Amino acid sequence: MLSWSKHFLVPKYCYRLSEKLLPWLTFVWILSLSYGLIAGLWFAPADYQQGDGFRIIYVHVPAAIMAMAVYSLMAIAAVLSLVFRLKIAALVMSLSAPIGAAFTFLALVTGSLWGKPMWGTWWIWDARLTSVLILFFLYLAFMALRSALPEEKTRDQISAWLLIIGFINIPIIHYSVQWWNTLHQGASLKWDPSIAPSMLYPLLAMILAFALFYALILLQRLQTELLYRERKNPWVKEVIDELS
Amino acid sequence: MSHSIFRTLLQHELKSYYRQAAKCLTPLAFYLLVVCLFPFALNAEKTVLQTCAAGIVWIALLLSLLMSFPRLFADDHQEGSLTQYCLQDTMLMPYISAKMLAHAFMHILPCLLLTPILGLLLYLSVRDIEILWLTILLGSPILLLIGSLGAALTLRAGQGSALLALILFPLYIPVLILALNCVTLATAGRPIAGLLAWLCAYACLCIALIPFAIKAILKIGVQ
Repeated sequence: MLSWSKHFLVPKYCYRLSEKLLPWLTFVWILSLSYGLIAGLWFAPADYQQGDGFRIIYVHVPAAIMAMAVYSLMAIAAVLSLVFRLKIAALVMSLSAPIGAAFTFLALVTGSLWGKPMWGTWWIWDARLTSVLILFFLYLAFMALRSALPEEKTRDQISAWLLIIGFINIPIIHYSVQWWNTLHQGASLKWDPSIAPSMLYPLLAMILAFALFYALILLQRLQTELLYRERKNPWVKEVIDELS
Repeated sequence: MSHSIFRTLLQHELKSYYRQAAKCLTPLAFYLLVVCLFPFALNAEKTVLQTCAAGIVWIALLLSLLMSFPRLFADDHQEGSLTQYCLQDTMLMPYISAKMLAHAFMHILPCLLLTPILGLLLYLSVRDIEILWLTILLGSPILLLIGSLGAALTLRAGQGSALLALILFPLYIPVLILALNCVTLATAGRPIAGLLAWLCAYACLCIALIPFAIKAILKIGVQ
């Protein structure tokens, strides 16, 4: 048990594990990204209603899914860091925030670009758009609070609390906003998909590519942060020697 | 034991408000002032103001509450008494409850009393004012609890209301939606009991859970 879990507990092993994982993840990422882009942008047929305009779905839907997924992951990491005092979990939580915020921003921008030709307007106060916007504010609040808190130790714990509170509030916000206004088309992915396989498979590939992209960026940021925090330990010197 | 502690702390809090009357009068004046700005910004026409009135009053209330939250725990933290309360576990919960109850008495209650007058300024009918008043009454525990939570979170940040607004306003959106839909439905002559029940349920959820979160966060904050 310990030998397995040490990769998530001890900075040195965590660094080594991410070093081993990175090339594989990059390989799968390139595969899925190139398949998703080529099949989505060239081979998938144009939509019978939206024409070629629908192809922005291959960026929009993965970004929207990742926006939510990253926040959930951060909330799980927050619980782990509060309950078990896992340093790595606190790092995952704090390092994910800018990436998640970027995904949310991308989902908002692509949604707006998609909305202009289809709905005739850049922005509508529709339930889904509004909840994503609020999610963006939750990310901003998390990052703003972190940058305002002076000490490292309290910063991790207090911002973890904010994440958990935000996460509990997400369904409340989601349902209240939905009940307030709805115009958005239904979800693109369901258990009984309403979307043709030739369009669906590239979409799934793009979602995988976005998730892997997140993992890649996170692991690299984690490595940098670990090297910086552990800079006084001998294993960092070994790593630096290997690199140079 | 904890009952008498609670009573002493509450008396102490109320006394401190009583001695610094400006502490609770300034947010009240702010509340009035924000509402009075809207007729200049929008239009002083009756129909325009009537349709926006409930929203204006709610936004003004949120802003005036926001003004008062940054100092909620900060003063006690500066003088050191908060650290003492955190050291004694039995003291902390009565302290938080007393703090919030005193805040409700000294900030929210005056605002509630002022609300009918604001409604009249914005040409609301008496029945609409009643509904608006009811939504504020039911919504204010949620505002207070979430606001205190934000005050506890930003205790060590020391950045005042801008950061607090960023944290609080996304969390306030559900209350705002529920309350303002109540008013809209009531104006349209439709039943609102269900919505009021939702508002009550949300308030109960907040009352049941948030004090414990505040307690944990304060304990981290004073370390």
